[in-house]
Amino acid sequence: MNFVIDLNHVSMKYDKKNIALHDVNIHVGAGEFVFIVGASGAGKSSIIKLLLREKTASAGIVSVNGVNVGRLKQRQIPYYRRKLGVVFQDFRLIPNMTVFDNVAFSLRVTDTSNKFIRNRVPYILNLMGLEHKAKSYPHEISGGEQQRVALARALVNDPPILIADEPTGNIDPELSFEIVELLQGINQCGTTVLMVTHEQEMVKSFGGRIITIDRGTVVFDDTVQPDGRMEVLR
Amino acid sequence: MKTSSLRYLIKEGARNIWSNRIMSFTSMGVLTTCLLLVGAAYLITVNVNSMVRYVEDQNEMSVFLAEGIEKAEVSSIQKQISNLRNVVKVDYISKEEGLENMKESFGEDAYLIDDLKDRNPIPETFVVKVEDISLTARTKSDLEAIPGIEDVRASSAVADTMTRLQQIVGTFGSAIILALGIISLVIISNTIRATIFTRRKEINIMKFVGATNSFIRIPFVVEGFLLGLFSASIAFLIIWGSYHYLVDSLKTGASAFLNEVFQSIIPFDELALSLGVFFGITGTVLGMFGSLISMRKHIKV
Repeated sequence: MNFVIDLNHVSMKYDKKNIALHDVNIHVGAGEFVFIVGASGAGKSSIIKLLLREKTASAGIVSVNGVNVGRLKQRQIPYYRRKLGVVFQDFRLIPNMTVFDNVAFSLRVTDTSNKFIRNRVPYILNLMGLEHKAKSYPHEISGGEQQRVALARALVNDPPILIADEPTGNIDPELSFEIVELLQGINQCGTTVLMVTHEQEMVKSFGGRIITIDRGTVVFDDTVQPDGRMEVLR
Repeated sequence: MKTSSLRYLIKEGARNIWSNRIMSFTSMGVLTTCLLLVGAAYLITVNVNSMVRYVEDQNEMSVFLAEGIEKAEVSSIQKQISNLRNVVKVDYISKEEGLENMKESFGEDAYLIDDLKDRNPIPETFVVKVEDISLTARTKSDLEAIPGIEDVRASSAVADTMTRLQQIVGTFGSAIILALGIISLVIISNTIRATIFTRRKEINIMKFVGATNSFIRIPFVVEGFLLGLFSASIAFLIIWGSYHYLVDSLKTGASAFLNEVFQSIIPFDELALSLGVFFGITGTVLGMFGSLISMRKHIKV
């Protein structure tokens, strides 16, 4: 089977003492929805850093969309990142740009024509239920709305993979479910979704494929029924 | 890159100036001040040089020949004088011409010296123009060494003062220009670094949506360019105004001699082009380099 995200015996260390990941194997097929769960410091953000090519693995191979990420040359990195949609816990919107411009931003970066931007951005904002907020600035809208703007920005390029790094971390619990449901909806349209979170209870209530990371290794990787029991791998 | 993208990037750069107006204002203040000081140093140097040149042009020595010298000898002396280093021009004034000149300067009272015609007391004279007034003293002694020359008169006091002034202004002027150039580069790149530090988040976001480094750089470079251009224009206008004001006030209060020297002050129109080009290039180049230097660190993600 071809995996869109494929970590083979991946280790990563910041220095000799701080080993972030040890012999991690994660294989995600096209169209899957995967939760990566773990306490803070377990190694979740290291996985994100590897996938975004912010850091490189000290051993093993990280491959995304068939690209060996560790082998990318410096000038190829921007083009590689355009195939990934990313949302972060802190939204990372540009404060002095309107919602429209924030979303249009990732299209402008890829040298897209104004005509396409004028059609595509309202369409995506509409999907996210944000059409009436297009002219607002990030500080004028709620946390949940800001995260939806970030999602719109991640999806506007139509990337095959969406990576969500603690997308619900800064949002009220009731809105968190809304965000995850939105992610599942996106997944149903064919996008592979990888959601990293420490909120184990919420993940369990949704079910699906869950990968648990603890102290730099994978301790659980299986499909779980909603509200089902999770047994740690041995 | 599409032209629509380029337009967007240039617009972004201009917009950033307004969004970060406090920092933009600070950068412009620093850049304008530095350009003003460098411009003032340049104008002072140029004008002192011009004044020295003026005084040099006036700088003639009168060489008086001994009484009763043969015609042949006169032309041999003339040859010797013009062979001296530092001598650019030698004019011969005969006894008769000398007397005429004197009569002319007497004007209406010329009749007083009418009867001097037969026993003309004016010696034969050479008017010698020197090239470098700092060498006046040496040229004078060279002249005095030529046989047949009785006396040499030179206004070496003025020459000395002007030469010293020129040296001081030259040394200090170039030192000031050099020091300010370095200081302004440091201050500008620090100011821009502070600007960029507050915007490193923005750069980080650009990196994660897949912006290439050149795409990230262009708005910052445009911003630096525009800030440099604005600063250069402001500095130019200030210099223009103060130069006119200063020259006018110098000319009204000056004595007759100084007023003559001040005639050699270069009119602003003659300096405007070179100063404008200098300001424009220095301002924009400093602005752009400041941007590039200070964002180097943040672009590596």
